[in-house]
Amino acid sequence: MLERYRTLGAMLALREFTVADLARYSGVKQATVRTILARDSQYVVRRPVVSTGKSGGQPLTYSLRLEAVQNLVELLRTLEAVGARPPVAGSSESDDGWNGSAVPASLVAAEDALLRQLPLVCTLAERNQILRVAATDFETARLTVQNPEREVAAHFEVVDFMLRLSRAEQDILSSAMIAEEKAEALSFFEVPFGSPENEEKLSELRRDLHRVLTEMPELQDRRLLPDLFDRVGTSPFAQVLRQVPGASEINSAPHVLLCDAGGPGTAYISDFVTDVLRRQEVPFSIVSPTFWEKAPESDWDSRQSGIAYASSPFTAILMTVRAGDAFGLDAVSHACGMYGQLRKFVVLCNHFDSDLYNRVNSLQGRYLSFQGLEENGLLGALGAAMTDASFAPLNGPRSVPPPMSPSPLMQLGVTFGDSRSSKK
Amino acid sequence: MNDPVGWRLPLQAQKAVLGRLLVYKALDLHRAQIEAADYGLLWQELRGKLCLSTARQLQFGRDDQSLDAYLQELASELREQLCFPDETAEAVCAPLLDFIDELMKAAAQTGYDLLVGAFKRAIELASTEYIRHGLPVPPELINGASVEFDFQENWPHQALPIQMQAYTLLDDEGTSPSASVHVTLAPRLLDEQTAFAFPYVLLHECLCHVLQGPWVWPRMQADANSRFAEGWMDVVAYRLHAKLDAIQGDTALTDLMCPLRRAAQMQAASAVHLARSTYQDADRAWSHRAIGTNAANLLFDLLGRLPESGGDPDTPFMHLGVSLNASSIDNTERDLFVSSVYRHLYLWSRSGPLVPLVRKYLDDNDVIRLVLDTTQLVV
Repeated sequence: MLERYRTLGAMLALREFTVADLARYSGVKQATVRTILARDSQYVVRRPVVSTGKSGGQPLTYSLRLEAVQNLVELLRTLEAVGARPPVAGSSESDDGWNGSAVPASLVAAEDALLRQLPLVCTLAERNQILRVAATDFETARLTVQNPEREVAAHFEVVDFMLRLSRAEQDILSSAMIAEEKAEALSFFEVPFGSPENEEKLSELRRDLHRVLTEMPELQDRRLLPDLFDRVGTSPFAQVLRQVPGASEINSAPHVLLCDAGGPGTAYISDFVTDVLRRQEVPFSIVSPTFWEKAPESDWDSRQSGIAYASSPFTAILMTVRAGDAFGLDAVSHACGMYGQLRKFVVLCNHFDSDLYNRVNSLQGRYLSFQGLEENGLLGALGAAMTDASFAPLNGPRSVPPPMSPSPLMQLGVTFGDSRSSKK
Repeated sequence: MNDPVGWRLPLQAQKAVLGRLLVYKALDLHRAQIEAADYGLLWQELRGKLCLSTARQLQFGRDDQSLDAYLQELASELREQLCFPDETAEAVCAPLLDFIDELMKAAAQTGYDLLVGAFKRAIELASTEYIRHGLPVPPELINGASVEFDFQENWPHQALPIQMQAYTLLDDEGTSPSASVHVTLAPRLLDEQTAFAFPYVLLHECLCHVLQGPWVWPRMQADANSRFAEGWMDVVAYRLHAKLDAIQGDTALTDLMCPLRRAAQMQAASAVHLARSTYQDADRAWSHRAIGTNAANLLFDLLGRLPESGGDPDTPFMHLGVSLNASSIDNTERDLFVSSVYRHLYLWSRSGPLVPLVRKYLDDNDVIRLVLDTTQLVV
């Protein structure tokens, strides 16, 4: 298969060739090339031999039939789909082309361009160039990877979403430029948020964002989610995108759900938390220790009880648990299982509990011990769990510069923790 | 060329760095013979004494002792401190110790800073490559280049497997070009890998960044995630580095750009070259560099397969790299070109549209048209 793939690939590249040309290009022996040429003769025509007047035979020359090009390309793709690849010569690339990453380089590069580079450029032309590069990378990755496993599939989903969002942003920037008769692109600060004609497109983007967030598996790449949230926060559509379809007015705001799963033994911890949240004017609801038994719907009851907030990516769920309490451990596991978006969970324990600590970490949640906990530590963890990663570096080093526009929580007037805290 | 120094290493650091850079070359050259004679332990001992002596120099070195005096003293110190178990051992190690004497004496007599000398040589080699491809490098571009050597005590936190960091800043003001190359070394941790990769690192900075075009000022600095400047051009620099023997001819023993054992220098350069485009969790720029590196290698591979260039893929490849780097095509368009090459050459089912453009380039040598036509192939 590999020899056929390489010989046919050589035919596509060279268009006119001798057997020796094909052999050199493909690295396949001339005898094999002749066999393949004979078997796949429908793609080529043999050119007439022109006498040169010199002694000795002339090498036969072939041409690729123009009408056969498309069929040949499809055949090559079919062979690639079952694993045929060009020989890798002198490349630093590993055989799978992924350079040691779990995700192909072209997909990581597209993601990096859309999530981290795009918010830094100001002109429409620069944005266009980055979009072209990212789209090319995405297409390369898409054609290269067959049946991606979960981690890679999640990256594909994010890049696909980001491409569409970035193009929608580009549309409104262009329209605003035309309206303002400006040569240079406007910053997002100068652009009116949303427009009626984009309503359908925005609805679709909003649905997709929430689907991506809801279905995203636990990732090895700890930067993807926080960077995605940062990026969405810089979008002129941030307000619209943050709304959960079907529960828009509730889920567009940052919120804390407080669940005391420790009973009387942790009541003093819950008091501390509510006191902090009140003083910082952070909206919160208190839910029952078994709130996870009720599906997160937007009906009146669940709104009243606060459970409707649970499905929003902009809600942090804080559970207070007693060390060594099996019920608390179960409650955390069930709640995480129900709501999927595990990183929004902050588990606060009265003493250090290694089992609970390991469990929460394995679920990508945040574990805090009440011993020695200060207000800023609590607020930092909650801010991070509300997806606003600019307040707390959750997942390792971050090199993302400040976004072009205020982050979602800042836009809503909510800030947390340390020196950046600006108490209203 | 004017003296390109912006900042020299302090004396103690110079002693430690040069002591190691030079003696490592000597040690490497004689290692095989000493180990073959079953005296590898003595070789290890000598290396250990070198590291200890240079570390002491860094921490407690005397200000009143010149660099030249120290280098000669280091050679004597290494000789005196090595105890031989028998006469055969002494005879086996003698050529190495004599060579270290010779090397240090030569270094003491050079009369110029060897590190700065290496930088000047790197610029010369890089500009020669541009000139070889019909691109006369303006003298002001070379004169506007400076180098700043700095040092730090600890590991320079980075993903590359060397105890050194280097980057270039373009500080063009008005019509005057200026590029400063910053090299930070960790003398206490400086190992053979760093010492032998040093020429490649300097060549990368000079070929890819100092001589970056357009040669009209001010120039636009390429980002760290530029797939052309940091990926594609790194392959060009790596290939130029691989030809250093042929280019340089006879050079002084103490020339830090000149390897004493070619394979050691190539091995070190390869390790750094590969690491630049390998996955790193903290820095996603690796993916852009990987695309640049892979695209360049794929194009080089294609040139090697085509009838027109199969005999010498190197010339059209290097010509393309330096011509595009010197051209007025902006950084983003260069990156788009790289992306398009990668997209079309990664799988042969997609190479159809690009190959005729490359063959046309081989016919007319028109790099600009190749780049513009190639970028038109993408969405």
